Amino acid sequence: MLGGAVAVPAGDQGYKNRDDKAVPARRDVRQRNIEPFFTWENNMKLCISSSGKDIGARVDTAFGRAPFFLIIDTETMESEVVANAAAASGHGAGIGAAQIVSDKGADGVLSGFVGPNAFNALKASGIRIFEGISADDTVQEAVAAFKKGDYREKTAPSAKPGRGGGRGRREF
Amino acid sequence: MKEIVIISGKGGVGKSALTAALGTLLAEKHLVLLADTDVDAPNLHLAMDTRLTDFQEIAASDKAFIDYERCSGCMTCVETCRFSAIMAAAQPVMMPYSCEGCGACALTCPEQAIEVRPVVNGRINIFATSGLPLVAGELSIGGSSSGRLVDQVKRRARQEGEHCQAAILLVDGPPGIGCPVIAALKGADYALLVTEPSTSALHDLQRVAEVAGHFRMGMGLVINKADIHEKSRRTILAYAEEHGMDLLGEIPYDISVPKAIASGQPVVAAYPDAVSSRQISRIAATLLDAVTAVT
Amino acid sequence: MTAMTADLHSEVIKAFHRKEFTTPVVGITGGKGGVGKTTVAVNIACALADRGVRTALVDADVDGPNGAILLSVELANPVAVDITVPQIDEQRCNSCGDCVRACRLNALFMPRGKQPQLIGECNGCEACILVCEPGAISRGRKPVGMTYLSRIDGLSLYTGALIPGFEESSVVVQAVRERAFGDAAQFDLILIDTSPGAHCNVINALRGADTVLAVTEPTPFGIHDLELILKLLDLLDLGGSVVLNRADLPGDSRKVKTIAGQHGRGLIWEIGMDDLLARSYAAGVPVVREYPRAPSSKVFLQIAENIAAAYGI
Repeated sequence: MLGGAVAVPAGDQGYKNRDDKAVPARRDVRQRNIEPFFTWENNMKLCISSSGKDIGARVDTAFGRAPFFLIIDTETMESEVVANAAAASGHGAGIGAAQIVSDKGADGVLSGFVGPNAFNALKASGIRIFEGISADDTVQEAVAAFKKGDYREKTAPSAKPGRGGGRGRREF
Repeated sequence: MKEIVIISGKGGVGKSALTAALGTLLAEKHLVLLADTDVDAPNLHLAMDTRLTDFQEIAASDKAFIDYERCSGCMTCVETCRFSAIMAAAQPVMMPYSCEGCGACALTCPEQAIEVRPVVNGRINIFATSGLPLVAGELSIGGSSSGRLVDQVKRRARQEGEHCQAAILLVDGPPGIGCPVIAALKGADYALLVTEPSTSALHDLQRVAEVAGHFRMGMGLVINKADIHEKSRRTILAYAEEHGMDLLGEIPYDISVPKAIASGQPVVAAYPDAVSSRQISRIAATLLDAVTAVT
Repeated sequence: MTAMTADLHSEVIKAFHRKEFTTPVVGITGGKGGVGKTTVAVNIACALADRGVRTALVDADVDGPNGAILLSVELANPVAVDITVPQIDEQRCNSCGDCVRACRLNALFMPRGKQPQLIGECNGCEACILVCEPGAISRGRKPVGMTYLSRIDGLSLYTGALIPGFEESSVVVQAVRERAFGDAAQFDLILIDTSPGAHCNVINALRGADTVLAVTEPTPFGIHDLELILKLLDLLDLGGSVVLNRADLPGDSRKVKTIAGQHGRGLIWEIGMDDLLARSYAAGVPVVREYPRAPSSKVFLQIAENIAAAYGI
């Protein structure tokens, strides 16, 4: 898909989030001179860690412990919600979450932080990983930002593990 | 919010006393939240002026339960358990303190008489202090899964921290190197290692430093009672240098510390001019610089 | 305070106390770290051995075993402590995913179109092996710790040490206990030094003990933790005396005695701060051997006599 067809949030002045707080406008892709990051790869079943069941809910930045995943077809914007049964696990929540997401056929995961074990699991299924969502965004806002290339793709497990699992074992 | 965890390997070298003192000093200029993850024997609330304001029961332990109405006494579960948690008496007896909640016994029971369920294994206590609250974990007597209770304490502490916009979360860690320590270290920005000049303390320091090293977080060292044995002290300093640890400071043996603790206060509050208080003040400043440098 | 195991009924207690031999077992524990458990354990062990009692000391503080350091003895006769980890046979695996679902630690992951693999931390429970219908999972071994047996001057020291970074300390405690208990017939008495705290590793280390010495200090922390450990010992139906170490530290010795009395512990041994103890500690020799006339040595010798008399040895 080429640049012209990428969706942008309505209004050049930006938009308001759920608390009616004004969010500055993101740059309109069409006005940029450089290729957006994901144009041709934009279509995917993207799984976003969420605190609630619909796309208006706030995202949850912790992949393994998020209560829900929203699996969104970025082209059609059709979405499916799945409860994260692994969130309550004592151990290995990240890997459990990765299994759920993989079994649902996701192509990519968008979250705040994906720990080393979850990273390895997702990669074994060929799932791409993007990090950097903010706890202030809704799922819908995060998808929009994703399509504009706002999030970095994670291509190696972290040297420093995050809030969750992995215990930073060196054998990554 | 920067998260600093205070560990030692060896128990009794002064983690809680130091956490209370550092917390008090740092709170003069920053919003500091304290957490006590030594859930077996939480002592931090005793080292400062605190008042219990809230608590929450936590069920972070899974245990297997045998339904004796269905049990046929075949003892398959006794054979299956890898943790020696089931003993064969007239009927199989489940020892909850040895049960890891893995469910292997439930899977192999021919009568489907075993079920794994979560049980209450402790609580989280919230104490009010003169500054931000103190979030402390407390394991039930005879309870297990301290590591998972520590996870819950940290989670609650982070929530409180976000709520009060704390700048620093200072965590009093458990002794040892096992799963409660690993749980205490997970996700932290910096590990402050406390030791004292003795062969045992150095031995345990090396072991806990290895565990903290897996997390590749910043590490700093404080030597407590630094003047009690010069030879061991030099060995520790050499070890710290060799392993790239920040040397945050040394505190000489000072009777003011136990005296302050006996009166339920951190030494920097009870005896602000004591040599230990002055050293801890320097350590607080050095610690902040070190943490800022790695985060 | 909720006690999850307040309903540990008599069956469990009986099972806790069950042992296959007659040699008496004395546990040494403390709740608070750094109160001097290991120092007490080592000195009592030496005092007994020096009286001709065939003594075994089990260092079950697997996170940080320091008995050997206090005795200045090398760790010898190493035996690895392993747990099972699953090894999946590609030929036999049918990718049904039962093993992934059986693992409560979420350690196994089955990628799309591939066979399950071990990604997370495995605790050796073997649930995956038990559910695998094609029998495609074999038992690999992963070392999580070591046990050792060292002998010094009539004393046998069994040490358990967890490999730093692993979480399976209970398996290592079990292993060192079993190693020592396997040799129980060789000894007149077995002493067990536990880790600090009141969690499952402490309880597992005290399985089979006949009596337990609770070591504490008079500080507020010591008092608080003494109460916890005595509650635990009561729950496990374990009696014994209290050792009040560093009795002259700023604190409240009377409170210690009150609490001990409330838990039916009438016998309290007091040890004051002792320079000679500190010196012998620095020299790596137990004080009962280095300075047998030191004030602390006298108490250790009395405790040893008391234990020997109690068990007729």
